Amino acid sequence: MSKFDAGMESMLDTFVFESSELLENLDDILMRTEDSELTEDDIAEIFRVMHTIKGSSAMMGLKNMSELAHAVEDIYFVIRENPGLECDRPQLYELSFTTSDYLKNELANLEDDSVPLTDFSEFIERLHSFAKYLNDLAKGEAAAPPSAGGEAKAEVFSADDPESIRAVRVKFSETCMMPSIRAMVLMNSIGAEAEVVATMPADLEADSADDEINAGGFVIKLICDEIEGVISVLKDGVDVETVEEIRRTAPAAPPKEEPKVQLSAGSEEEGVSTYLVKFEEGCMMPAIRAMVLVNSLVKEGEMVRTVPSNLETDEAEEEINKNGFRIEIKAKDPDRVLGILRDGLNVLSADKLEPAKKAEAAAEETKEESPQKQKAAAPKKDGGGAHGGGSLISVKLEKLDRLLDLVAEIVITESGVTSSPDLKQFGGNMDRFQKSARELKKLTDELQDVVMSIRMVPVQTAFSKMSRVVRDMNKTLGKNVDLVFVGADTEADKSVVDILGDPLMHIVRNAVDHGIESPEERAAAGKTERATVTLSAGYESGEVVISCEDNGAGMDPKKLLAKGKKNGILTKPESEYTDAECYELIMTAGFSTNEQVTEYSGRGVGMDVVRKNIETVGGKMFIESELGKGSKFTIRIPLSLSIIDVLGVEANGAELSVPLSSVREIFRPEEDMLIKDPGGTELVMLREKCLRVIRLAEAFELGGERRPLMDGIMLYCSEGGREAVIFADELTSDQQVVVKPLSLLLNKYDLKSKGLSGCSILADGSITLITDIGELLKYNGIKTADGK
Amino acid sequence: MDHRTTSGQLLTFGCGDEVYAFDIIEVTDIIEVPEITVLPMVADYILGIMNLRGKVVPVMDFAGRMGFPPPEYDEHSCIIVIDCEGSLLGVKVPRIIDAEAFEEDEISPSPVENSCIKGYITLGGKRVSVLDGMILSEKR
Repeated sequence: MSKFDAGMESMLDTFVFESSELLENLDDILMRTEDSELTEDDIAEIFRVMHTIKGSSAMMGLKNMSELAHAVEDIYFVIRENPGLECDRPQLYELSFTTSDYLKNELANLEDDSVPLTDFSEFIERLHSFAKYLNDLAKGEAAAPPSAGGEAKAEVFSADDPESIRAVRVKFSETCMMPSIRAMVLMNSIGAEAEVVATMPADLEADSADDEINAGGFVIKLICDEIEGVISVLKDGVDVETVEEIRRTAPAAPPKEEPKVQLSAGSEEEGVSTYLVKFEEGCMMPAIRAMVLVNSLVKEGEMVRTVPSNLETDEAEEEINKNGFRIEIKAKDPDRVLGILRDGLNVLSADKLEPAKKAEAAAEETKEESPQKQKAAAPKKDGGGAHGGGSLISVKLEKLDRLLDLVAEIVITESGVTSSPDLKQFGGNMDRFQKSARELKKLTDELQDVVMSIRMVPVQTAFSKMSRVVRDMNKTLGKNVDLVFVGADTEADKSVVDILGDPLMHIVRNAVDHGIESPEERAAAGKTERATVTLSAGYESGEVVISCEDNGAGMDPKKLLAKGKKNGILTKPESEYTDAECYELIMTAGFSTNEQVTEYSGRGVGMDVVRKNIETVGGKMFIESELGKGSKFTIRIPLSLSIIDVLGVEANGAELSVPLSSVREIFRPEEDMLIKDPGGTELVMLREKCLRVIRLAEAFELGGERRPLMDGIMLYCSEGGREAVIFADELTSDQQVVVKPLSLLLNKYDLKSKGLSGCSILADGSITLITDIGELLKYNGIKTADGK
Repeated sequence: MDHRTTSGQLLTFGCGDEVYAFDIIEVTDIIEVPEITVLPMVADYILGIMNLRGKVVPVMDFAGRMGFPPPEYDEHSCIIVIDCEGSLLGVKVPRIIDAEAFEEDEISPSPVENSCIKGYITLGGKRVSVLDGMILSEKR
């Protein structure tokens, strides 16, 4: 069985890549702030990194990483909640850096099945005690920081360690160079005498190992027949100063003689219980059933292994039919596990195997499993080979960005060359030039299309991640939520889809966790329809619109307001808040309606991070909700790379560009087409259709004289269901431009909602402003056909 | 935090009879006044946007922003481009004076909150108002 959940292989690359990036980011912050001040933003960012890693590794089924991240998150939670807390900073940084190293190391080893998952539980203990110390500190109690390296003796043994495990602490002489290397040698030397279960520090290759050993000694937890023999071997080691056996602090019963058979047969970790599950004979695809069982146990404890180990092979089915399915799990509550197993679909029987039986089974397994292991390993290797020599290559996104920029410049330069005024002096006969120019235009157009298409990916990639999220949450939260996709084949730029991943995950989680009620609550509210979360995607006026809609409880603006008040995030008197503004509160930092912190939704980091992520790419987020009916989160992100066709128009001396896609017809009005409403509104009758006239110069407050409508040009525009006629002085050009967003510094003028979406630099270096017809019509009060 | 004094340079410019300064760390360019594309629907002191080597940068009239009467612009007038945490802003000023060295502790901080002027310093016998780019830009 591979380290992460079956079915997640396709996510591995993304997971490793994203997590590595986050950790890079973490290191940057830590290094930057170690000798200076940790600002609020930095803390929030560290918190976000840990939160994301916690979530995504839990999704991958990597419980150890998820727990580690959670522990660190807890620490930074205390720090975030108590600004100005003076704490033991060196230790904080040491812990943070070590976490980062551990996680990176774990990521690097993920694909290598021969390296087992690291057990971080000891380190997590340290993190917990540090978090506790911070908490005490915050409460004003003078607490001594837990000592950095020297674990107290009591910590050596965890509560669930069986008594056959002994522990030895080795101290090296002070002059000893690189004690970690010495420790490694010692471990090898006792190989014949005992079996090493764990060491402290766990990772001898980490840089911190030397320091930890110097501070607290090197602790070996082992199983052996004669501890004296081991100690004498250890005492003979180079540079070893003292060797002492660590005894349990609790008056434990004298160590029981473990049945020897277990050592020889299992090489198992202690505390592991083994279950044998048999499926009904008529059960289709027992391997799938087995996989489901394995996933259902995730919460119960650490899965050690299963037999057969690889459930995806054909042989697995046969073996399960023949011998049953064996699960070895380090469970907190073995009886519960048994219960879960027995409740499984098509399960005929599930039994807990006693050690003696287990040995038998294990012996059997060694015979049977070894050939299969090889079989399972072989195809994997082939798969790996395809990566190197196949027809796919991965390219850095920056290179594609650069390529796109260049193409955009080429397209613009090309139109600059072919329409250069200098060409006029050559007179009429330019046939050959025109022919070549047309050829060039064709080629550049194609080039542009190709480059754009390289970067276009369906939003499906972001959506499909969510099925997994919802599935897991259904399992753990007991909510039968259906996830429905609409328009998942909508394509958007890679960067846009990438950005969507994180926010979507948060939104979907919130929808399932907070939005959808429990089945009982739904029944009580008389809701008969299935609990559904609908993810939909589509285009609208040059933007990708993604929405997540649930048919759950909806949000109560009053509750949100009360909560906001309690958390002190209101910025104006309560009575002035509209419902829409109340919903927006949940996107404010430090807001969370769930008292309980769960694996799936946190402490209000979610939504404000979501909003921040989306806003950095020029997107917007809207929330609609109806109490009892459900909520809808809508994200609108501009199609980031926008080379668009525009019509240049002049209005009272200003140059503006209108996207060609919004224009349906261009015409000069006839006298009899013009109508004036008694209220003064100017109208135009265009083929039985009465349309409002919007004077561009007035809509944009350009000033100047009011021009007679007969003296200008009219553009019949429609966008997003709204229609009107735009009036301008003159049509000046028809060209392709690269849209650049307006500076962030101009955000406060909200130009986008007034109809100015951006600007563009033309071939001659001048700037043209680009209008957004949809917004312009909306801002000027044009209604859609259905009255919105 | 350490209390060593840090030294740097101030870019001083004149507007009316007063002298103002930006910390030179904030300044990315000093350019002649280029063609400025007028932007509709913004405050009067936003002159428009300009093309700075392929980047579109908004331009602000310094005197207008401070609420002063329009000064006389001539061939010495220029645009100081400052970096406001990643966003560039052009500030049109009547005339650049000099770049002068200063020590951080020579600046007397202004007690006024959210003022464009973060402090005052006396250079060559003349009081100079040191500007806060972030507040000037209204980014926050």
